[in-house]
Amino acid sequence: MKKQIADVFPRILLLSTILVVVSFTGRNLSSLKYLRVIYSSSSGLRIFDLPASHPRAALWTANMYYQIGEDQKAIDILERVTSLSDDLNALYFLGVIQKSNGRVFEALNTWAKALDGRILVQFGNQARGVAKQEIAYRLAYNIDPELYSLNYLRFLYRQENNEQFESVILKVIKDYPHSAFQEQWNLLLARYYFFHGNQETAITMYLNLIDMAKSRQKKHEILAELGKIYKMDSRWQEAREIYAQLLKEEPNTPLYSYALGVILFEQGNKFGEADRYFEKFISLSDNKGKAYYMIGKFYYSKYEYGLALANVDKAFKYNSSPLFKWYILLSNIHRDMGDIEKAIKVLIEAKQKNTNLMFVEYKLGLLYLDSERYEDARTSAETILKIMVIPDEKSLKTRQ
Amino acid sequence: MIYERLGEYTIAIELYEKILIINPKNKQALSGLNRLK
Repeated sequence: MKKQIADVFPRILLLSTILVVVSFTGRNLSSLKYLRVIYSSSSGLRIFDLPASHPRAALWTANMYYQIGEDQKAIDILERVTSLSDDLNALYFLGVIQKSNGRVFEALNTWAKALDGRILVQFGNQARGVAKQEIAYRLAYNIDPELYSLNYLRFLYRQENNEQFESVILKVIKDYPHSAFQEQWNLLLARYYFFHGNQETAITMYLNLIDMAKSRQKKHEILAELGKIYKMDSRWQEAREIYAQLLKEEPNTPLYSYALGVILFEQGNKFGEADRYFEKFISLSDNKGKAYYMIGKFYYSKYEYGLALANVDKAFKYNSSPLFKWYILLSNIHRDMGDIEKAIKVLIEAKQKNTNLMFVEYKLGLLYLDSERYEDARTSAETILKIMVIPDEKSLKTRQ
Repeated sequence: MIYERLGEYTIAIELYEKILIINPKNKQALSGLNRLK
């Protein structure tokens, strides 16, 4: 036994040494991917002992300065590198430092020069201001119209920038006939046509897409999308037929039951049909708290406060960690039923749970005003100003 | 909004303007400013 171990041990030692050596050399000389990992992480990985003649020595030095907080020196080095060569990684890194210094628009342009649509889209998804989002998505779209068009198109659709939306979507559909995005583009265009006075074309498009769908699952998804837009347009009968068909084929999908419940309620809820579907929805749902909340929210939107309250109460019973929007809904229901004290009590409870303090405080302030408790309202307003980060004049100017 | 209803219009206008610099299309801030100016 001992002999066997003695035989095997040196081999393991040799193997692990080789592995370590390989992984280290792999790291140092590696690829763009690794460079990116260390630029974006603060893991403290620093490699100082690379020779100055190494092609990436300048980048490493810039990275070192960035990690010790000397951003300006890092920027100087990178600007020199990028003016001398078209090193995309240096550009990417320069963008990262510019962004972390609040020079957001410069960073966006730098990333565009680095041809990095992925980070532009990622930035657009997280950015709050409409202007920033517009620039990020547009620059990404310019880099690769096929790959990054969907984000830009969805943004234009949301912003109701119809002219630009139409020109971009028709262009990509025409320019990339074999793209994997064709179906998503067509779905978006169909939805656009439906709500912009061209319903017949839209419905024909949906039916074509259903015919062309490769799987049963995909077919159902497109059908559900058609049902959803009928619902949004209050065309209850058509929506009902679609969801009834879907439910027949997939009886265990909770959301189809919910949609049918909503439609039957809108159609007058004869013989309590809506309630039957809502009950089915709850029994099929894994998250019963959320299911009750959804029904409560629907009833609240229809001014059925009694029913809304009953459902939201049940939601709280089923879920021990309710979301802040549940508290807001419960508080709104109490307020609209005329019980402002109870509405305030609910929000104070939400505050104690520390959920989205700023919004809860804002709603609380409004309720204090309703009940003429002006001092409390003022305290709420002051608390909000303390919590929220209001950009100062200087940073606002650079944003412009 | 709270400051507006408390009658502190200067603070309210200042805050609405700040919101509009960040997001020029913010509906609440736009209608707030229209009411106050």
